[in-house]
Amino acid sequence: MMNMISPKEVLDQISRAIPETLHKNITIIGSLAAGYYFFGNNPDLKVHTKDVDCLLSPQFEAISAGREVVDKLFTEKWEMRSDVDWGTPGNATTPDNQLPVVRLYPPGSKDWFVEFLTVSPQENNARRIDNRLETSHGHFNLCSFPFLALSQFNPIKTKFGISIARPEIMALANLLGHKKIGPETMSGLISGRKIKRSNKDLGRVLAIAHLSLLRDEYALLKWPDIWIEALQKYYPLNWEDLTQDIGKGLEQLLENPYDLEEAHYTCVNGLLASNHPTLEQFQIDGQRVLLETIEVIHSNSEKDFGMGF
Amino acid sequence: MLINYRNDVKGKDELKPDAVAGNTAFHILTEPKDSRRIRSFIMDIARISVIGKFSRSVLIVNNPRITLARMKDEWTVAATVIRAEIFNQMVLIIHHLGNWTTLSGSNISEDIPLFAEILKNVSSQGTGYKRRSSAFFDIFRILLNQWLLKKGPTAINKLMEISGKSHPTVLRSLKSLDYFLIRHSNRQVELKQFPKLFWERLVAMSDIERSTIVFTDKSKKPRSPQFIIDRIKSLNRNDIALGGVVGANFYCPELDIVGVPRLDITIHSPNREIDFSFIKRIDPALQLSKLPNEHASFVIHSIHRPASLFHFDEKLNFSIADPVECLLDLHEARLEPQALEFLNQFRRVF
Repeated sequence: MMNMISPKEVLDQISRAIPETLHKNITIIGSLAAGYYFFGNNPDLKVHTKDVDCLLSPQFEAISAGREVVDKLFTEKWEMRSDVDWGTPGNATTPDNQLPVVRLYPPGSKDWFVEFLTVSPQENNARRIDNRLETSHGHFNLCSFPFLALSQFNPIKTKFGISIARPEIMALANLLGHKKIGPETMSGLISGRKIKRSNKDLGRVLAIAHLSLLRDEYALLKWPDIWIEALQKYYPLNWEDLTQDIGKGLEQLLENPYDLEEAHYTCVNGLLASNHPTLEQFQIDGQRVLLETIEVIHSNSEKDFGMGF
Repeated sequence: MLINYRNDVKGKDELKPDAVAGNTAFHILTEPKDSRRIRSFIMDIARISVIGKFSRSVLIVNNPRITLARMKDEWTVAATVIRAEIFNQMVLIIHHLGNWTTLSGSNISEDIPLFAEILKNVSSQGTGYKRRSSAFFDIFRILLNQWLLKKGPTAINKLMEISGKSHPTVLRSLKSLDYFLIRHSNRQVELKQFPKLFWERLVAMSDIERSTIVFTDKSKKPRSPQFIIDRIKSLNRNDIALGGVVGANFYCPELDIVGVPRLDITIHSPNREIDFSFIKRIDPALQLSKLPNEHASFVIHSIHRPASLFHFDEKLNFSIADPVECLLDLHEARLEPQALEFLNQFRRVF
């Protein structure tokens, strides 16, 4: 069950619980980060979510920072999420891939929980990597997923000290993460419905586009340059190949009314809960993303390759 | 696509469609004021369809004076009395103030240029009601443009060159305008005053004369006119000019218009072939307007004469439609006070 939570209040609570020296290692990603970016200043606008994804970076500091943060949160009476499988910490004998992810509720509340992740080694864009995180309270899995590294690109520092990922970069990571609409579904229900992971993540791209356009009608036209810069920084060896994959899944989503409806459903029950575009308007957001960002990226790549780069 | 008009179609007069393109027959009904006319024309296209063995029969109802609901009623009744295999070949298209819609719910976007072309030509031939010919208004618009810009007399040869009309056609049009003309000894002519009567007739026919097509924004966040202009510029086309409020402001910066309620452009298409697919490249939110009361965000007009009379503005780095087109745009947008002010200011400025 997802709750309406205030991005500002959650960021404040997390920042206060984590030692200031570690703020630099924390980047909030996902719907809460997007929610804070778009309506963090409006206390009346809330985000429909339950998980707050915290990215620990850079990679070489992630384990040590993770250990310190998790120990501190347990000391501060944050509680492990025990209502799911793998609700207890592992130990030295637990295989890496069977260790639980760190998911902690803040003291006295079950409205939301914080989940820790880390960035992949450079150039990894294919698979999940399990990293053992040994804490005083047991062993956990500090997973990394493909393209999470991008979230470190020019993150936006909040007034609470910790940073949030740039919305357009989260959109890029989601686009790269879904080259097609896969059959995998989310483990839990979203507002009572079983939803394909691709539809949820690609729907997030459209939600970010929708909110970005409400702020700046030229927003999407600015994304390609930012995306290329981020890809060149974190994927210097294969960024050109990656640009070719951007948007394939989104094209499929827009062509399939069932998948599009599912994506729309997740957004109007999530990031766009306070905004509520119609399905037609949501589809137009998708067509705008294709035209103003993805086609631009592809046509620029073709020009560059054509010149012999 | 080759279009044959009534005079070129074989058969008995009462069973001739107004136009034929491919294996489709077109019949035009202009400004019907009662259901009986609709009913009668529906039966006509059914007969035309059967006797002419057309695969499709299209009835274009132009600027109806009855409600959409009454037309729907007639169409629904017709479906019950006409054999299904015939009725399924029939299409009812409604053109009202630049908006095109169909009762069948099918997508007609790609056919609109063809419909507009047929409507314009059939109307100019006088079917349904008497009116000045399209050629007359073409010549009139050129003369008016010269008059507004104080360009002085224009040679008849030059009028032929700009309009693409033959010598007899130009002479015939000038004869109709005789009262408003100064004829110079060297076969040159110019307007001596603003011909209000003809202007009002042109304004009344403006959307047909210029094949106006209206687009509305279907997104939650319509793009600003400036954004649309930037997108059009990025297409690098020299056959498009800005008109409407933007054009009027270009000619008369003092004009009292706050904001740009809608963006008007004119496309120069001497061969009468316009591919509207570029609209999707401007903004996918722009979609063909289907209802007369929908807000017009973006409006396209066409001119088919050989000379565009566009003015390229270095500062804007884009073309501006001639002042007559801009003035007509203001009228079509129902900005009547601004149109009058534009006209008055224009004569003072130039």
